Amino acid sequence: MARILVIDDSRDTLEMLRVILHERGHHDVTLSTNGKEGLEKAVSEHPDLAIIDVMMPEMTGYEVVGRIRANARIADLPIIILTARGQPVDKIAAMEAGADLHMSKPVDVETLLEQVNVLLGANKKQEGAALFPILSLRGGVGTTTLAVNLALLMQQIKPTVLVDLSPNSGHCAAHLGLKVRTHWGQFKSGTTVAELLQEHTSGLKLLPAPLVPVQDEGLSHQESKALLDKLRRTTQFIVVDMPPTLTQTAQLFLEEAQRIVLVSGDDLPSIQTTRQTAQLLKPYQDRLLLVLNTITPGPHPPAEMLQRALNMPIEVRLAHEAQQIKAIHTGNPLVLGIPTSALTANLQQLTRKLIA
Amino acid sequence: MEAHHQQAQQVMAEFFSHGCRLSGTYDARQKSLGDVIYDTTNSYLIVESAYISPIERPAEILANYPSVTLIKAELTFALAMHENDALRRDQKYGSYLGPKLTPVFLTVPFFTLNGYLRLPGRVDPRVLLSSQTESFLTLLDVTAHITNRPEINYQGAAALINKTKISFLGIDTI
Repeated sequence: MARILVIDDSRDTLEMLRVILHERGHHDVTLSTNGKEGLEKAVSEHPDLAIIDVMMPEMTGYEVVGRIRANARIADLPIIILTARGQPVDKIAAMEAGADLHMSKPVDVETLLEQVNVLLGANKKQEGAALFPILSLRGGVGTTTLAVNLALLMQQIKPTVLVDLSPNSGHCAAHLGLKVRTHWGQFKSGTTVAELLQEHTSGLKLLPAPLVPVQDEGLSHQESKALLDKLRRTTQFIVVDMPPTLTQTAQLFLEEAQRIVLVSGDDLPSIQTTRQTAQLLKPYQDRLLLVLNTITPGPHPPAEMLQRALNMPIEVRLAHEAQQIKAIHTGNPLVLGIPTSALTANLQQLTRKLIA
Repeated sequence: MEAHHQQAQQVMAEFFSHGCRLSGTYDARQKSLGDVIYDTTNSYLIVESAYISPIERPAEILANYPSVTLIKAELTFALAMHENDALRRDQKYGSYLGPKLTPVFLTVPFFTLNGYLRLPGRVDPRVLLSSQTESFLTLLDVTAHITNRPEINYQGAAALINKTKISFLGIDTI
């Protein structure tokens, strides 16, 4: 059962679609008689799909679709344009406006339900939250900075949890200006994840690392799996600041990941480590995404040369940001403190690639 | 099972005039669009829930009104999605429409139209184009291309074309 928002100025059409989608399709249906109210409901109720009419007074369906696509929180909402305007040019206009599908009125009930299910299915590629580990086996290349800022950007789109998986006193909490009160080392099978999460003012939830380094690995394989299962039911995106060693828990997170962000600096030791890590991660290579982080100011080798040395494509190259040290010291991450910086733009690009 | 979005009396149609496209419904009240358009006793047509766009930019709604009065003499053509919505009562049930379909090409301001005439016997262009008795012409299975943007087209099961707006008429067989 999904939550479907229907926006149409005709009350007869709304009632008809409510009956079709609720009685026949067994979906929860929210109705709206105009574009403005529909947009508000899309933001507040975060439906799984929207069906939108075109010809509505005050705000047309095309405008509604455009505003949904421009709002990062609901930009990925699947949309069906359902309109009496059924000309070939109208289909093109609907797709150009950002709709996923154009359907003409009058609509065949079975076809509508089938297309709704197709779009809902396409939007649910996996059960639970999408998992994005951020990894480098060489320390000091900015993995934590990247994880924290990416998680904040993802939180602007969907509820996100940042997991600091370091067994040796992680630093995500410090980056976010939070004091560690709970951590994943306290997780046992009966524990609820909500008890361990700490909330940042942005709404991002953090599962901190233990302040005191843990002995062995901290969590057994079964405990790690239970933790991940619970996290996946709690949120929609999980960003993981991975430890610089491939612990049992780290390997589980890699296996379950949607995309793995492999971070490298542009110095020779970083490149060597990254190249070897990529070899190690060959089983996951179709999910691997290489990010080159510019840690130091000054001239840097050209991307083509680094790409040849790394033997894999660089998906995003992050710009150097002189204010980064200050951002860490003040607990105010860059994407919030300097949202217009080149680094923030690079991170937004990376976010889009990850959730595409 | 089809889910009709309009009440039984409300029929959706597209109207074209002076480079504008008006999408809306008209209250048929037991009459088809053909009955209303061909009716010489009144010169206008009321279209409800009317949305107006430039013919070249369908996503741009220039204006919308709950009700619009459309002057039939200024209409270039109207497109109906279903044949029965466009045909007159006598065309549906009488002997007016013969079995012969004749391909037709014609030009009106902004558009070139391709479709079929369904008339009994031979087609006489002089009779066909005479606006003395009837001001409109019914074409079936119509595609209307914008003359200077032929990649943009509008399609309908039937079109009612204002004879006074036709400049070229090409008939496949006479």
